[in-house]
Amino acid sequence: MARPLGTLDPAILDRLSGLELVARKAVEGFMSGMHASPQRGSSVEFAQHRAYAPGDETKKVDWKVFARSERLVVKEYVEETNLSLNILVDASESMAFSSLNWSKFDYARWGAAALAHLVLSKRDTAGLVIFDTEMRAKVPPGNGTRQEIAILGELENAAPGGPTAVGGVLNSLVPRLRRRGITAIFSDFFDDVDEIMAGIKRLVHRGHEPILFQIVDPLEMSFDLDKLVKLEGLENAGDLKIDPKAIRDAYLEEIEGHSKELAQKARALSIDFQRVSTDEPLDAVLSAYLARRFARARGGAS
Amino acid sequence: MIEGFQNPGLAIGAALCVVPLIIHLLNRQRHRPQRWAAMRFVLAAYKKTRRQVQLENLLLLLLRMLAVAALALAIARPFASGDSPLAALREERRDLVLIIDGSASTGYREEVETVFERIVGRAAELIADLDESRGDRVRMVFAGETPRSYPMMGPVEAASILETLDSPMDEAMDLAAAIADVAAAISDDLAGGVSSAVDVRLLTDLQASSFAAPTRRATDGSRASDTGQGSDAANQPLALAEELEVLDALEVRVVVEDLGTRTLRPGNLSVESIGILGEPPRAGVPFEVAVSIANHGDKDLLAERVALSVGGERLPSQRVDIPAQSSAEAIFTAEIPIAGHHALTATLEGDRLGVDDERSLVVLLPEPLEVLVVNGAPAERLEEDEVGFLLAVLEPPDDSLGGESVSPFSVRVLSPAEFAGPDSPIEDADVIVLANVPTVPASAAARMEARVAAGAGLFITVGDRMGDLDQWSENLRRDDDTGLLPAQLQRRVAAARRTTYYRVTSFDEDSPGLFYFTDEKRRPLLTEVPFYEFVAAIPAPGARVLARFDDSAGSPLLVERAYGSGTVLLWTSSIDPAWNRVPDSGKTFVPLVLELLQNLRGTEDDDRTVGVGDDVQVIVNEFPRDASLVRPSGGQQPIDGDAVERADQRWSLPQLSGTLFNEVGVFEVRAQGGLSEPIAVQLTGSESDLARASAAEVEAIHPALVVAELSPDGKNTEADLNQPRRGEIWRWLAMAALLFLVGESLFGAYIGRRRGATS
Repeated sequence: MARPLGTLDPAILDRLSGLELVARKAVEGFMSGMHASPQRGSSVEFAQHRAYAPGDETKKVDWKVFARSERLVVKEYVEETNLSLNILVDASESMAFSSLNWSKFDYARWGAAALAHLVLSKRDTAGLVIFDTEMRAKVPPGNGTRQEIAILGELENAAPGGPTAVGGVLNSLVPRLRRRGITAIFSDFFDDVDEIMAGIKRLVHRGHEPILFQIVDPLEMSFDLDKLVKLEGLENAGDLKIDPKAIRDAYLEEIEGHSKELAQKARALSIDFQRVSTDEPLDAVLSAYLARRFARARGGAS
Repeated sequence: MIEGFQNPGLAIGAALCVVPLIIHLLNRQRHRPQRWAAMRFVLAAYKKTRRQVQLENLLLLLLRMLAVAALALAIARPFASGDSPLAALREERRDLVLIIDGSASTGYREEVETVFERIVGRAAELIADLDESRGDRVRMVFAGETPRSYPMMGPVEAASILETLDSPMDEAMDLAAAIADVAAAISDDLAGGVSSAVDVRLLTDLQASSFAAPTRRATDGSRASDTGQGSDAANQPLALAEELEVLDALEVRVVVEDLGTRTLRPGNLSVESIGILGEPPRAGVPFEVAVSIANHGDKDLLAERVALSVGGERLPSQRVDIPAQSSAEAIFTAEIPIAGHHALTATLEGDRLGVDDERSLVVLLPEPLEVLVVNGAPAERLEEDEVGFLLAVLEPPDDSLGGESVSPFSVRVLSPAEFAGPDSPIEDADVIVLANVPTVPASAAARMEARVAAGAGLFITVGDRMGDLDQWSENLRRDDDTGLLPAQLQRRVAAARRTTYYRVTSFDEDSPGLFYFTDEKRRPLLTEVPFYEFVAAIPAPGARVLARFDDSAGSPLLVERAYGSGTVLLWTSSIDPAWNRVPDSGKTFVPLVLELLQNLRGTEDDDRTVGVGDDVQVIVNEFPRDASLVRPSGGQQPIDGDAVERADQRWSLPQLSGTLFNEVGVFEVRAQGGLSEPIAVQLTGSESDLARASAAEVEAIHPALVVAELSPDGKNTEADLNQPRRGEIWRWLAMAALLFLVGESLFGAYIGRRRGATS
């Protein structure tokens, strides 16, 4: 995918000193003209007409249109709400993997910082949870500059380590996320899909809207190893001496299958799944995702 | 399965097949560590592909190992026997050893071709049956007196060499030597690891003499095998049966192909021998030459013409009748006016075997012997002169018929004073006679020593003029008895002439000078002659007493001792009739003087009549400038090396190698100034007898000799005679190695592609 003009190379972000600056830079990169809430509902800003359906409130019927065309249509507006964003960042050891100068975890926290900055700058609320098999750090939802400082501080201080259990963590977290809203999860999701989706489902059932950002390293997706290697598994996964070429196809099939399954099941729950490679420009990734989300919101699609 | 290898050492290379395995194992140690997060997928992929990958790797490794092993084995050239499971794959490479009978007898012409041409033709057929691409090889042995062996070579090269064999050699075939050569070559091959079976073929005319060897060949004619063990016996070459035993031990048999004549005893006439009758010939004196003609056939031959040419001049031919399997002699009278070496050649009218229809002999007609006589007691009357009778013998007066007598001596008589002078011709003398010389000056003695040492003869006779014997001997002997004088002179011994005398009681019958008197009838001529006086002498060390008196001390009459290359004879009595009656006795004195003086002449050590392949030493009287050897067939080649001057002022050419004398006839050594020295090379007599051995006789020699049977059309059947052949399978192995390599490459490429070569 061609990189949009003015996008930020992850290498530049890597060289920026603090997450605050990273977040600002990243957000500045994609926030040109994107001020509308992606939530649709009743609001002052008209979104679209749609055919009347039994059960619709009669006050939403556009009588002018009925007078002209004798068709019952209802008006829809872009909802303007107070957005609550929960950011969940996976800090398990697998996130420490890196074939570049920055790890998946680095990339995840850049993304988390950018989203937090974006949301808080719109005077919405944002919270942060850092987890591996359990919650390791939490910044309860809040707004304002202090909140942003708190979130960025936690992100700054976090370091990857320990095993992964995304599904389990979600199960334990869901009851503690009192304010419903968007839940952005940054993880490699190298875990059992069903367990992950079980946690996600619980989030959905509690009224949250999860967004899954699967952070992967380009090497993980290409498996471009041409010499014999002894793979030392992170998260105590053990060692294995292999000829990478011999298993490359099977590996790629496995990882792609996992990713597809994750995407498929996310789609089935009408939740967003975005796979992000750490060599992609962060602003471009967020911008593309938000543009899609905005367009979908404008188009009425869920 | 595999019986062995042509190159066993290289078979070890098959162990190199473990190299791919070692590389594989080493590669396993060389895994680069890499931290990895997505291990669950790696493990899943590994679990899914493990069996297939292991199988593929194993197959690839196996292909590599097999390729290396097959290549190494192919280079080692394994062979398998007929009962091997690999028999279907083997290529029956043939190693053919051809023993080609190149003896003179194969020159026998029958119909349009000679037996030799038939042999070469058959050899060409056998070679043509071979397959160069299959690795067939040929070793040719051209069998003559000594085998000319060619190394193992391909059929094409062998055929080209065969084309150069256009005539047989002028020599007999030593079959045992040829078999020994073959056995040695096969043994060497075995020792070198080459162990393929060989077909040995002997292509021959089946001449009986070639197969009739003693049980052990011995140079002295004795049968060494009869003498049991001993180092000499061990070093002697083995006879045919024994050589065949060696070959048999190597599991090799000799297939004999009879390419000889149809008849068992082909007729053939040959000059069996040529020789001089009577006295050795002398220049200007007629002498008789006996030429013996042999009829080897079954029919009597009548009026066969025999010719003799002397020095190139043909004498009138004679006709002789020769009974079957017998011989007859033709006697020619020849005369050669000039001294030196001359060739006599006896010739028959040509028959089917031409090589033995001519035989040559080189005779030496000696130059007159230069005799220097120092007369110590000259007198007017012959009877009183010290050397009167001696000169009468050496220079007899012309006969009454007015014919020109030819004396073998050229005599010069000097007085003691002349002899002592510096101009005395001592250096020109072949024999010096000191007859009752009063004194011998030191200077003359020194010159005589040099001359005698160079080969001249010295004949010393005593007498009354010698005075004090010790003083007389002073210059002729030294304290260590190494002087010219072969005995220490003691005193005069005289018998009372009227009542008693001395006689010779014993003499050395082996002495050539006295050989004449060994005949019982002639013995009294020496032993009954009265001696009245003599000088008692004690022989010096190294001296030989040739004759003794019958006195109580057995005093020597004739003492001989070698001095350098020459000889000194001491006659302890007078040479005139003063002290004995020998000069009076013509029948004693003439042969005695002639024989003694003739034998004092230095012997010629250059035998000019030799057999084929013999070395020849040529000695000439003048320096041979630009010497060359002219062959009987006309070819001429220079003689390398310089002539060396001998002590007797003659010149010795470098020894001419026997390889030069490989044809019969008269060779000539020529040099500037008209020098022409003939050398006669004679054929071995056995080659003329063409009697053939029967197959049964040949096979009776040893089971390893097998005579090939003739097919109805007269051709030899392909007598493979179940020689065990072991075929090679290297081509198949090389092909397998190639297939393994190709398979490995293709399979490797397939795996590489399938595994997605990402680099």
